[in-house]
Amino acid sequence: MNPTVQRRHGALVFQLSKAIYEKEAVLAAAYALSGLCSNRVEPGPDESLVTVILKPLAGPETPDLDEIEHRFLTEILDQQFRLDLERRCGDLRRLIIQHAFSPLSNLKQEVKKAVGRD
Amino acid sequence: MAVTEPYLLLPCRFGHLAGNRVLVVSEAGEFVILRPEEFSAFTEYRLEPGSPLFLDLKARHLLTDTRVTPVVNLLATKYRTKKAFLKNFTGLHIVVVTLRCNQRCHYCHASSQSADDTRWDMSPATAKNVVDKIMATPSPVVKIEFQGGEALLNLKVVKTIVREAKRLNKKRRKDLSFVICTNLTLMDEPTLAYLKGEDITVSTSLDGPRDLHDRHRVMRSGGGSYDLFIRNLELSRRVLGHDQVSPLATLSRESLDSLPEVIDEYVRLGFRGIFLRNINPYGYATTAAHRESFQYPMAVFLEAYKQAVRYIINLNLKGHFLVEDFASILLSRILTPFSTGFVDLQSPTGAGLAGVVYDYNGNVYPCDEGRMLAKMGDPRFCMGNVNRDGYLDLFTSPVMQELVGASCVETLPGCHSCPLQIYCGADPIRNYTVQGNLAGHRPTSDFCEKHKAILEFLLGLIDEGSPDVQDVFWAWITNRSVAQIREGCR
Repeated sequence: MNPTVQRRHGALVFQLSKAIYEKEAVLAAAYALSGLCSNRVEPGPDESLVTVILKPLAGPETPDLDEIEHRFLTEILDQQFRLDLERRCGDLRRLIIQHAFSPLSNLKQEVKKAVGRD
Repeated sequence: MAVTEPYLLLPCRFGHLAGNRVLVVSEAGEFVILRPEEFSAFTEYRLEPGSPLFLDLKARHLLTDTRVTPVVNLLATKYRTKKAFLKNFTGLHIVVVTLRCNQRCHYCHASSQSADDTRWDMSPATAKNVVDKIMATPSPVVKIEFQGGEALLNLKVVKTIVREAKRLNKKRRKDLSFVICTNLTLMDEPTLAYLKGEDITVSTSLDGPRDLHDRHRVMRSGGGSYDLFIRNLELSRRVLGHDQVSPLATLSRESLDSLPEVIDEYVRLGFRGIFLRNINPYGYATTAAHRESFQYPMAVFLEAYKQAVRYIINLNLKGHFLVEDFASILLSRILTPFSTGFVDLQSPTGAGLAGVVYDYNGNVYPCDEGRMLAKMGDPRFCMGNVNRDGYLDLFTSPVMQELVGASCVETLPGCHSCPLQIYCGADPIRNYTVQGNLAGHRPTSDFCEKHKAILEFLLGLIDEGSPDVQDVFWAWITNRSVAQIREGCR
């Protein structure tokens, strides 16, 4: 289920599987390249896909389509992986920050609730 | 954690560095730079417990295979330490005692006015109200910084503020200090005697050797200011003490081409630090007259900055102690557990929270850029006026609430997942000025471009592992010479 990429009228058209890439990762990756490309995120040809269209903005430092494709695919993998990491560590992150500013009297129980052990 | 997993991952952020390296930073700012295969092994639970990398990551609180609660407790303490700058609230109070100035610097942010037009002076009554607000801060540490225009043109009000602040401080018992920002051209022995008697230090401006300094720092009466500066620098040092006078450099396009000469001038004059800063897009710097000198691409500044830092590192290794002050602030954030308050780069913003500006007429702004915008016709960042509003009205004003809400990097698009987040910060007023909204747009932000590039440059130098560079960095952080650092390591 790799992303498919087509080139149409000077733009890159990605079809991304929703089973692999979450909305937040797709939007974050499109945002990361928004200094180089105009972007559109829209429903894909079927319900399992989302379409991202990146069109390079005119500018002396705008990279070519190959470079943009590489950057977007790397970026979306990173963004999705960050979501996966957040799923694994996010509860602990919230506990750390909460405990830093407003110490919890039941930290041990909260840790156990978050990660299944204390 | 599933029972089959040999260790628990702790919260971290990651990103890619040049040279196919992965930067991983813990919630408390401890970092490691890995090869991609090491990063994969780490996140896929394939590290061998007891291996050097496993132990390194465990020591930096990026994973744990022991009880979790003590680790969370420790990380919370470290996080709180990193954010300690928030604890005391506003400590830096900048008072613009006059807009009058005897110089007409081409890049002036302060919209300076003619030296004899006293309409632009702060009145003694307003000054007393300023002091009332300053001394109401909960911060136990208060620094009052006098700015202008040329602050010495309204020494009377400087004296009023010093007297009033010290009087009120007999009850408040804060750690109170004063600094006066001056171009030094009006400095004389009676003024220095006063400054010495009141324990007021001096901040000044030096853009480099004579030709660079005089290019944009010109007297209203005509001609450059370098010779007067040098003469009065010597006088000031003789009366106040050598290290009681610190300069800032403003870097024009011409200076970027000659940074070694600028740095050599600082060394020649015996300064211990230089803050290499680009010109901000405010005040006279935005006018057409000197656009070529002041509106350079960030990439040009960054290239010059990196070369300059390498140059300064080599000077230190040759025995000349000189700190690049901005790098030193960032290195403290990277290499130590401590909080380094720096108004221009904090999360939430330092504007209003760490520092605040009282204009000559009593208007209060979160930072000088907010004051500049008001001068340019957009008063939206005015928090209120000391002659009308109370302390809480000012510091809980809608302006402050809006700024804080728009400057937490943990929630800003693009910053929220950045591995450099804990070392960095936000500048919502700059975002507003340059990009039209408080949150800003990271992919086109030169503020982001600058700080990302400099942080990655410093991390890259650390990763190169040169003991010499490490010695210089620790010398900067601890304000000791390289020789002293090496002596301490024996």
